[in-house]
Amino acid sequence: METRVVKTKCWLVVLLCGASVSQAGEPAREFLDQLVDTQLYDVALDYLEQLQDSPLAPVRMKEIIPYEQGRILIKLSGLQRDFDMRERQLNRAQQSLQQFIDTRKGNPKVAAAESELGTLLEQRGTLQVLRAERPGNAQEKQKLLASARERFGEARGVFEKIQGQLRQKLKNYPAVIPTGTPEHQLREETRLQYLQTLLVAAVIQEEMADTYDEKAPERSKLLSEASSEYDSIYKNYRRFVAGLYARLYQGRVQKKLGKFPDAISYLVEILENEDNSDAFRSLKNKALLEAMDCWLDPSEEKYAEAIRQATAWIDSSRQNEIYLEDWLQLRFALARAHGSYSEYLEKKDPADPQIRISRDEAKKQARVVARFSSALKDDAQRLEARYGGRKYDPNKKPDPKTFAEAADAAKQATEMMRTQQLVLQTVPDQIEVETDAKRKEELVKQVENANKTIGLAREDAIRFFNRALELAESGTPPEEVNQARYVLSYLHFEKEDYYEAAVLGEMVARRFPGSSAARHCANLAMWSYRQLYDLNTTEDRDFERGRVMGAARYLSDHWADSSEGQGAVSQLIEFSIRDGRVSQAREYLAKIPEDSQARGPAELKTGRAIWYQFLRENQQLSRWQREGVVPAGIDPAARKQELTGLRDQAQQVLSAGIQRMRGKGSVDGVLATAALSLAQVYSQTGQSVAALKLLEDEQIGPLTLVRAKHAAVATKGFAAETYKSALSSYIGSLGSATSSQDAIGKAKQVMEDLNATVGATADGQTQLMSHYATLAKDLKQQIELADSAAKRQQLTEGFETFLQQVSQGATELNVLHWVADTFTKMGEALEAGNARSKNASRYFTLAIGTYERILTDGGQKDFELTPAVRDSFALQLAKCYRRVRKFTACMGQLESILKERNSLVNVQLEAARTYQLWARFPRKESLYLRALTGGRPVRGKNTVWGFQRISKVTYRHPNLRDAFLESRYRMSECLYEWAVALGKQDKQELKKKRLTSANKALLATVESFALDETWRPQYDGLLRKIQRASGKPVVGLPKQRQKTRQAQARPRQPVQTASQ
Amino acid sequence: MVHMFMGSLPGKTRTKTLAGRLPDGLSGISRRVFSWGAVGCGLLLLTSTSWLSAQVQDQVFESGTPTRCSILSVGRDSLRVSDKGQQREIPVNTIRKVVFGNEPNELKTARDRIRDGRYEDALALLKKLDPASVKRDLVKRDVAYLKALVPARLAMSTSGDKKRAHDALLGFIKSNPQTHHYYEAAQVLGDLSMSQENYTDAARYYAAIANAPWEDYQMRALVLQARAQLAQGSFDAALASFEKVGSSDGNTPVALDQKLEAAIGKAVCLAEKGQAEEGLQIVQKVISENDYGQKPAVFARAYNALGRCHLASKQPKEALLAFLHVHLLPKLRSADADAHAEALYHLGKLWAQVNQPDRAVKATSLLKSRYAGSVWASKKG
Repeated sequence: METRVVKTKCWLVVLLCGASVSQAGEPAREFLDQLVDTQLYDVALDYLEQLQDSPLAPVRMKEIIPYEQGRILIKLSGLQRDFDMRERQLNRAQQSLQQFIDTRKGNPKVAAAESELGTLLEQRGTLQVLRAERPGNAQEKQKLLASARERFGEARGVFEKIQGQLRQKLKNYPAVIPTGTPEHQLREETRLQYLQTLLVAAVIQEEMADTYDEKAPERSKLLSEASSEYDSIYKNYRRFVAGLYARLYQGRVQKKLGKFPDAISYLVEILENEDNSDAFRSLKNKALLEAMDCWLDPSEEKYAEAIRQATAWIDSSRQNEIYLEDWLQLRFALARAHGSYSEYLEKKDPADPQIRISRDEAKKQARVVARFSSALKDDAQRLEARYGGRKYDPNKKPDPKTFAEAADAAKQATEMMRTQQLVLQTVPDQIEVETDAKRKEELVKQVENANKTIGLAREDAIRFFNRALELAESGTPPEEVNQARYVLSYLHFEKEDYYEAAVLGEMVARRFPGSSAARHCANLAMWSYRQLYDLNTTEDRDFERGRVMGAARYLSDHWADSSEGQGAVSQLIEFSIRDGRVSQAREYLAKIPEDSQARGPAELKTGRAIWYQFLRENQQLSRWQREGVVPAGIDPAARKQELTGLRDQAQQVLSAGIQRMRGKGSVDGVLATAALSLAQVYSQTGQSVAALKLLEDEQIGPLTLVRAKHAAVATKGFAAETYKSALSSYIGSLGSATSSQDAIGKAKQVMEDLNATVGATADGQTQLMSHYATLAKDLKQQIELADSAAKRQQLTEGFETFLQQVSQGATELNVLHWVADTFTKMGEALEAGNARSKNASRYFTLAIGTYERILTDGGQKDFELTPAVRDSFALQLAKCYRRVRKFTACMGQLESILKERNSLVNVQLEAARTYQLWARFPRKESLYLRALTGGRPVRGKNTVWGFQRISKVTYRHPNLRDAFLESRYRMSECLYEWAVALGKQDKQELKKKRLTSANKALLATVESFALDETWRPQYDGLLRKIQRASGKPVVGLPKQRQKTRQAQARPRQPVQTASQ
Repeated sequence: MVHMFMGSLPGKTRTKTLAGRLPDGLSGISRRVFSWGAVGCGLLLLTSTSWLSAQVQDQVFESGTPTRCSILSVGRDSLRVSDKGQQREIPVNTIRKVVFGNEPNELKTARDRIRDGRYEDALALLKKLDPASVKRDLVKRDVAYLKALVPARLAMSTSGDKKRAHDALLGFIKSNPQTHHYYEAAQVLGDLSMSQENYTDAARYYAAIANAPWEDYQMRALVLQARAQLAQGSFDAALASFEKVGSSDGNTPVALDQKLEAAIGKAVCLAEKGQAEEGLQIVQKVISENDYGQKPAVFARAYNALGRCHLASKQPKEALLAFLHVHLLPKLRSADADAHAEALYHLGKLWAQVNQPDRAVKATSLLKSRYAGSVWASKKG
């Protein structure tokens, strides 16, 4: 991944380095150099950080820490395969170098820092070129290449500036300096630095040319300029190795320009140099490679010369050079030369015996290249096959005898798979547009064959990889064995054998963490387990969840900086959220670097999870307060405070995510969803103005995007959610100082949009009802969450104004329903903690009026009510009656429903609850008996069941678990309240009996059924009350025992109590 | 075994000199030459005598030019030599190397290989050496010593049977109590015991060095004993020993080096006793006041001590950097094999701790392959 400039600078730096001088104290320079030489760049950065405050750090070293940090970060980025990570490291490097240049003016390293800055810019350019080459970036290719050119231009500018400074410095030296003096050495160093900048600037010019299409005039112009620069360097510095490199590059540029004779003449000049030292061997190798390309070009056809030169050079290779990349490239070029030569001869005289000789040589050389793992391996295999070597034949089943043979066979099979997968990617599009029926049929057949071949080839590949693993011996390179395991694991994944894929991947990752395949294997294992988790539709997914978490933890612990590691953290966040461990999710979130691509989506997920947790816990607290059963040890005020903190966290995390993702420039689904979520948080926390600002934002506003039909918001349901949030926010803003008729108009427009988007069909009407129901809840929540009475009043007045306007003359059922429901919810919100609220009664009365209007208009106006819908409205009306203590009217409505459909458990529960509430009023205690055992008999059978019968009916039905637990709870509660209502004067025996029954009934339920976190505190609270009233020690429920899964899933036969 | 060895040490008794008696190697040749002289070839006699005199001349390397002399006798504390017709004693603590006149080339080369740490090569050379070719008793004894020393060094580094090596070296000392290798052998025996985690025996072997008549040797003995105590976990005792060395009066360069070693040891003791910050300051002083190029072995141990102080302070990253100094800086790495092995041991654990398992595996593999015989390679936990 090192760029041309970095490579060029590397060997020049070697020439500049002098011997180190030992000194007292910390050998910081030597140690840092060793860290860099051994590529421990991350540790080198830690070391530099430590040096900042270390008493051991030499002062000179301390001064150049930012420079060193920048230099090392550039090197570190070169190792990074993830482009985004690489970019981030370059950003950090630039920051450090710039800081050094700005703050250390006059330091001798400033020039070097500027040079590094130039290198950095060149790396940025190269990065853009690499991005442009990615198949997925085809659309943005030209844009990326233009950006690369810009970076190269900037880099060149930096080097030209340094060139000028160094030129001036060289001029200031006296013309004659005695050799061996320090001044002479300094001048030589300066000269080499100058030469380095000249060469690097020319290399950048060449790189810039490479960003244009081959035939673009800009490319030729830039290449010609680069060639002139190389020429000038060579002429002035031919005695230096750098000068000869300039000649080599000049040859390369001439080759790119298609001027092969010129290129060959420059390159041969290098090849004919008699120096065979190591530095020259490398130079000559490179020159020969370039020359081979020229000789083998069809316009030249100088195959014999290419073969002569390359054969002689390869014959002189040393034993340890055979597998080096440069030498493999050369050998491959020789194979190509032989192959092309045989074809050339064949055209002239097919009987020429040299043809066979050349073909055999081509095969032989290609086979040598294919023996080693390199980028050329595939091409070499193809070349070998082309000249009569081994070919892939799906019908012919090889019988491998060694690891290498089996791995080769498996690889051929996977190559076949890839080829056929390409067919599947391209042919279906052709089928779409093909008009010729016969051709279409052929294409369809091609797709069918491709599918079949992929399956067969995959099976072959799996079989051969398994065989390869069986044949692996102690001498087989572990890296190759692990690569085989990795591909095998991937093939299993593709085949959807996720378990095999996961086990194999995890084995490599955990047993060979140092292997280059380890990270990919860990990632594969994690996603395989994730697939298993998603595919398991049963309730028992503990195994899969545990494995996903385990693999994700391992991946994130070991490769935290990689995109896979960050993806793993996202998984950990998701599962922590699923398990309800939001704080843990936050901890994981902190592990993702702020500038990571994964950070934004993770913030969104976590922010939403925190928000949902807040909503859940806030509802629970409201319920406790409403029902007066706050569990022991919980201070509602403190809890409220905690919840406010949680709400602020949600807002903060989501806001940070939005801010981060907004900076990316483009809008996608993730960003739009994030914006919607944050708008919901704003809206539901009374910040309607902020919510609207975000919803209407020109760039990322969900409302803007929905109205513009932007692709990012095409997800099903997004528009409806957006309209709901917008409506909620517009209504919420009505009470504020900025409210206006304009807001009402906008809200009405949004209602129309919502109706048009969702309610066009019969199904849509149902959805619309549901949307309005949610909206009513949202408005209720806004009131509940208002942090002051004034704010609450402001909101309710705003809502009321709007609802009154909407309901006037409204004939649509969903609008009327929404109005009634919202009035109810407003009443409930105002009632929380204050059951006798005057305002609450007012809104319940308004709701009653609207419900009565619905039930009266049903069938007479624009809508007709089915019996089920009518019952549903009647139930809502009954609840409103109960809220305003019109118990007779309430029971009348409930009875009318139950007479028609007696087994509606929720209505039965409401009826029993109504009796219980009614019984709490003076002289109504006898109604506790009705709450327990029912009432309103018809032909000797009670229409209203009472809690006792409800519990008997529901306990066998797991889906009615809550109804069962509530009925059991209410039974005890009724007995307790009934006992307490007896007072202190008399009937102590009866009181005791009722309390004992209440106690027994409650404990029997607790003994037999596992209570969840919703019910347990309520049962505990009630038991404490009973214990207190009985004069017993108030200890509450016994300590919770671990229940088995079965006990949690299915209730057992409850113990019969005295009261029953 | 140690008691036997200790018991056999005759204290400070002086060796009987061999004055007046020709060394074996010389006597045979002299007889031959004198017999040629009897036939009346005066020129030959003159030439041969001069040639003969060159052959029997031993060399004792101290600082500066080696002394060309005849070694008359050897003892624990000194060599008695005849130098330009005068007999004198050369104290062992000043001697860097002794080369015997007309000793086999293999022996000379083997000695150099040992100095470079190339023990396998040295052993191969010693095995190649024809015992019959060695006539002189002193040379025979030197060969025997090296043959016992090399397996011991090998056993402590790459491989070998430590017990057999120990017994062989102890056997040599018992047979040759008056050898100028005595103190070196005592230290190697101590080191061998340390590598077998037998700290009590190690301390006793090291104690034998304290019998030397020189203060720097006595200080070194104390430092080595303290290290054994430290390894054993007797931090208070070790600390007291190191402090004793630190407060001694010696101010020769060698004594000052021992004081540095004691300071480093003291820092480790303090770290182990929960006073890591104090230990850290001592090591930092050692590092900042000394030259890394001049005292690489001291620096190797100082960085290991620094690492241990950081470990005790639960600063794994800082500890890692300290141990990496010993592993990465070529001068430190080659200065003290035991220090390098220790650094690799800690690096193996620390890399794993900072989630770099591949680096941990590399460090541990290097430790196990290069220093298989080291106590660090077999250390658990």
